Amino acid sequence: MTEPILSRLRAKAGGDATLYAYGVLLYLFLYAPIVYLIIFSFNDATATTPPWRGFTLQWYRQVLQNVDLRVAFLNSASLGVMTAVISVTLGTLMAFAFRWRFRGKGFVFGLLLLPMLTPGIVLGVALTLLWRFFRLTPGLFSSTLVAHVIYTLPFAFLIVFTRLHRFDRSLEEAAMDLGADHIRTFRHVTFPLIRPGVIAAVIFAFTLSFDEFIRTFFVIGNENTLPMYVWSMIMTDSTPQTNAIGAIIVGLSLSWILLGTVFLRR
Amino acid sequence: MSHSRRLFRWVGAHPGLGIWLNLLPGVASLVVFVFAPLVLMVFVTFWRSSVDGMEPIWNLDNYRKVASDPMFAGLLLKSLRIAVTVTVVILMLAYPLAYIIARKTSRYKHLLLLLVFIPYWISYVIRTYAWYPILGKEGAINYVLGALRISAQPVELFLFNEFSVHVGLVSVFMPFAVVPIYLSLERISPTLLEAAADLGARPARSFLHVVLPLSLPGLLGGALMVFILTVGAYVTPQLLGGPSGIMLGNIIADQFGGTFNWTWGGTLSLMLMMVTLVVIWLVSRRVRVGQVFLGD
Repeated sequence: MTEPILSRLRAKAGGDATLYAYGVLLYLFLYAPIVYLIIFSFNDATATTPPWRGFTLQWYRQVLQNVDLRVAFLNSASLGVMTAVISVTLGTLMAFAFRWRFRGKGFVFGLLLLPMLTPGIVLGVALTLLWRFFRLTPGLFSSTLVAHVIYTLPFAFLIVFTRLHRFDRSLEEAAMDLGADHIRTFRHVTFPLIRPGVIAAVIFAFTLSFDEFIRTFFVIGNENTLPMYVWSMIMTDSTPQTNAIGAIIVGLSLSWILLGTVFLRR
Repeated sequence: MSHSRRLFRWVGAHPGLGIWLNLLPGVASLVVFVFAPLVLMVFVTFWRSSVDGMEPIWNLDNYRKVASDPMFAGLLLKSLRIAVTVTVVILMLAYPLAYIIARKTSRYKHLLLLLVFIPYWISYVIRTYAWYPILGKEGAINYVLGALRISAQPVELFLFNEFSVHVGLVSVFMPFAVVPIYLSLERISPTLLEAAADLGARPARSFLHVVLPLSLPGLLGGALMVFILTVGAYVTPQLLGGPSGIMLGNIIADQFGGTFNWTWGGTLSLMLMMVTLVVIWLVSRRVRVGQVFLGD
């Protein structure tokens, strides 16, 4: 009797080991390029490829002295903040409406998912055409802001809506029964309950906007965002300075994920 | 203050109105900045390109080109083929990983999940660029091959072709499939598997008849996201593709850059949109697309 159980256990352990080896390989595939990029941002050579010539911080020094890059970074950061504020406000308002039944709900939901299900390049083209049709000048806080708000809106909505959907509505009813009006109920019951979702949505929308490339590529006009600047660097001549910028962007993204998970855990 | 308070209370007493006030800003922006531009794009395909973009001179030239230009047909088929291949490869790679994470009960589970999430948040321009010095002629792979004396000459097969486009797209978009698959697997109650085992089903059978069907929404949702991202890809083929790895997205961008044929660019975008809509329709016949994103 012990024999089959033992062999089955052994088979299971073997299967698990294969699974884990598989998992490790896949994580390696996802991470090796990023790690490699970071390592070679410290390489004391003009090439981004082996061999290793020694450790240097000169590429980072160059990044810090690069004025165009600083402008692009500030553009991206302020665009990200504005995008996050607008899109999470719109998304939260819509999420509240979606707690009720109303006519055309399916249609509105479809409309909301449309920017998420349309290839980014198609939206970029469509907005370019719209701007040209009305003879508007594309720019950072016009066409690009619009493109980013539209792009992040479905994500903001979905994050806040799942949060709203999950909590017990009788909590609000209890507050109303106890004499709180709509404003007080919202301030003291509803909002504290969805706050983690709202903050997560803000961080997520900011990150999506900060990294957005393809829609921006079409509608940015003469200005620059960080991904656009990085793109032009890659296209002209990739030096370890590009790696250093990449490493900095990876570091920034990591800190936002950390922020996001802290707020989502609450 | 008392005015706004009274207004707020009045709206609260009329929930129907409140709903539409809540929806108004969002719906208005979506109609003006998504729906209307897409409709305009359809009109533009019947117009003529001009020095400042497009002129409303109605004609069918772009559709004649669609019907007769072999370049276009080849490019569309190639983009579809790459998108389907990449989607299938990603699903086959992502499913087992999502399965491992979902089945785990230890404290590493959150770490493993976080490790999938992280690339999701890192700029795909950077992640695509990162392959550059690995696959290139003087890149890491060739360096290792040379150091191990496997090949004397650097191999130029790794970069600037369809192979590197596939590698780039698979690695860049994989997290978009792992996450929805994981979420749908996570929701499957273990009691269902115990019940299947009690009724005599072997693991393989209970996987095929219980786990797989129940994870279908996540699987199809992930497939949909990956397909949409891949079929309209621009960055990866532009960076890693070289002349032979070009996809539809690159030709679309060309029409708004050097080639300067906006209405043809609009027509190609419309074709891309049509392909996407067909795929969404196919997926929505199996699962409600809303269900995929709301998870209930």
